[in-house]
Amino acid sequence: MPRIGSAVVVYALAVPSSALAEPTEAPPPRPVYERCLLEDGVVGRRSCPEYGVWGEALEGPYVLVRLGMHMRHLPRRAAMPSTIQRGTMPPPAAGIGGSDTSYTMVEQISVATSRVSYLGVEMELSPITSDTLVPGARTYEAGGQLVAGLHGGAQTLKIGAELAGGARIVDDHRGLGEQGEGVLEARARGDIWLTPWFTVGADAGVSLLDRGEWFIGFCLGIHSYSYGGT
Amino acid sequence: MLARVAAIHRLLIGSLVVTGCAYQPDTFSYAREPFKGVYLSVQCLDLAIAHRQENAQDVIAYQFGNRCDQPALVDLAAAHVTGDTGDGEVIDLYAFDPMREVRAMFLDARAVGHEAIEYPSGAPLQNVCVDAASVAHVTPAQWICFRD
Repeated sequence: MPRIGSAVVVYALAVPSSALAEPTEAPPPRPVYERCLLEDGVVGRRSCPEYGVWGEALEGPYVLVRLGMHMRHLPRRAAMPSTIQRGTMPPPAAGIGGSDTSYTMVEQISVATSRVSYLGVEMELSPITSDTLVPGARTYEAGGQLVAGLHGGAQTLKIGAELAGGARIVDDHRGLGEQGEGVLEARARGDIWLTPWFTVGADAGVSLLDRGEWFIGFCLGIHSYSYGGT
Repeated sequence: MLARVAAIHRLLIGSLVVTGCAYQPDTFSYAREPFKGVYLSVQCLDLAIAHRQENAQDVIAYQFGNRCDQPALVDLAAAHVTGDTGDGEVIDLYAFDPMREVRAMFLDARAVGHEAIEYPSGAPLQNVCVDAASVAHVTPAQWICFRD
């Protein structure tokens, strides 16, 4: 049975049930944020918004949020023999060869450190897993990493390279529970601008700790500077 | 920093939901709402300037869109506004800004903004004129006048 990711569970609990709603209640007051957006008051005589809300984005650092999915290729590792072998025959090799695929949801939040570089944090979660995997099959559970990247490009295409390091939890289904592992990856990405503040892109990477491990993915990017400030 | 990231989350996602679009040059409109006032373009700014009276004071409403693919300066503090008292005297008008908010800022590429600023005067005015070019720090002046 599929396991629902934590994000989906939180969303489900946040949605109110119409069956429990009180009838004939006065509508709640409009949120302050919405009222401020519609206000056309005079500077110095209005309660909100503050002057210059239209220019606030450029007064702070360039922040980029990426939401996407990865398909991760995880090679299987050799299994430890379950019993002590006596005699001259070598123990049977189990679990060597083959690989497994995990699908993950990923969110990266990055802040520009210069015109071409940025630092960020990334959280990755696999929302679906199966209980019918063979022992030795590896599935990605969750992970977090720090990201350092370089990017550049024109106003149609943006390309970049990243180095990501952190930790993750992988389950190899040997009855030993989930295992923590280190992560060190080199990545490349390309993004196309849909609007001045939104991109859609693809990325791919390889592990620097395990030569057989790689991933590909796609993402939606939300930028605080139009065209990334280029 | 986390509060700023959360605010940017809300602002950007909200902007996408509400509009999803960038300002298009020469349209003087955004989200199907036309700018109100007199239209003119000053370098990278498509500017609409309107005049109204509030509480017997002159209010100039500025709406602007960046027609370029790079940030554009919007300096409403430098806007040169004058008033004609009717007996041949032209006086400079200054923005009502008790909180000292009005300042030069940059408008992001293809973004829009609007502000309404009061210009109090000690005497009734026949005309109120605005040099639109002064908002973008350019010359020559581009005067727009409103009969009061």
